[in-house]
Amino acid sequence: MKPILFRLADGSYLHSGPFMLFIGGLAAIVLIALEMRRTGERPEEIYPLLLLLLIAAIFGARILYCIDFHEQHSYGLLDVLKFWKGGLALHGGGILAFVTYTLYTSWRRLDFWGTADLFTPPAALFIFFARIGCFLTGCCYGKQCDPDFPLALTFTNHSASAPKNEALYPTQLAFAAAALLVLVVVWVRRRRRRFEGEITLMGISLFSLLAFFIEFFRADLRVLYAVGGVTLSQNQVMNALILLVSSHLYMVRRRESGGSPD
Amino acid sequence: MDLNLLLYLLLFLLLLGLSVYSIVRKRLDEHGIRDEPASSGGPTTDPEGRSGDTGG
Repeated sequence: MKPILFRLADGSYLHSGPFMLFIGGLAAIVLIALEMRRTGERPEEIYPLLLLLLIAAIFGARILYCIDFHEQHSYGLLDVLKFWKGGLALHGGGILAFVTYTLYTSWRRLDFWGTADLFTPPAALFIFFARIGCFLTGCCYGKQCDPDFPLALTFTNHSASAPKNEALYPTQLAFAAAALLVLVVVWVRRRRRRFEGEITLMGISLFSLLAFFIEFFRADLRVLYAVGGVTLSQNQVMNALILLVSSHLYMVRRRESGGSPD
Repeated sequence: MDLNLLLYLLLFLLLLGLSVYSIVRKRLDEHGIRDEPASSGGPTTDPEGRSGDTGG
């Protein structure tokens, strides 16, 4: 739609992807600050964790993208470090952020599930803005669809990654809507959670489920697996695994807590 | 400098600033160095329960 927001006289330009990640980051910081006032969490523990999570998420997303697309672009080590050049894969960010989160909470002796609940609404908001960035950039595009499909997107900007002048399923907006739905659900639920970790596990399960189905309409996937006669993308396999683990943990923790409010 | 990199750096620096500020503030609180604000906001009330509102 608008991959480049503006160009300066010297030729440098601002890409809409990093800009939306920046806006998403700011929105997540504001949301987490508001939530800390409500829950009484300690900012001196949470802000450093948020900084580490952001760095881990961006580098993790960049590393997975470079691994997935190394045959097309033959990325070198320096290219992997140039995350601002574009090319991020969400699940890579999630994996490295999870490892960082586990190490940090263990080191600082923070409540693993309680702190995770604090981070869930800001994470959903961040993903929402990141996907709007995908929409503006024209990446993560959908398969070709009937031009009469009321929600069809047609990219015309020559800088967009998506095929031009073709009606495509609006997968980027579907991902953004999924993240927004998760945000609304966890935001409403957070004051009435029955056990620590409920918000996190509910948010992760719901987003993985929605993302699994949205991926069927996505066209730009390269890493594919044949599972039981069905072709699944790398993202779908990861979503399915995350959904299984998070829903299992949800059931276990709910049973252990007896469903009583905390 | 690349504008896209600049945006990422701004975000990192903002979070770094918030982290350092919150840690320093905590340390000052622990040592009783930082002055507490005179009022925590909201309507003021004296020990006898009278409102600080000067109206009426």
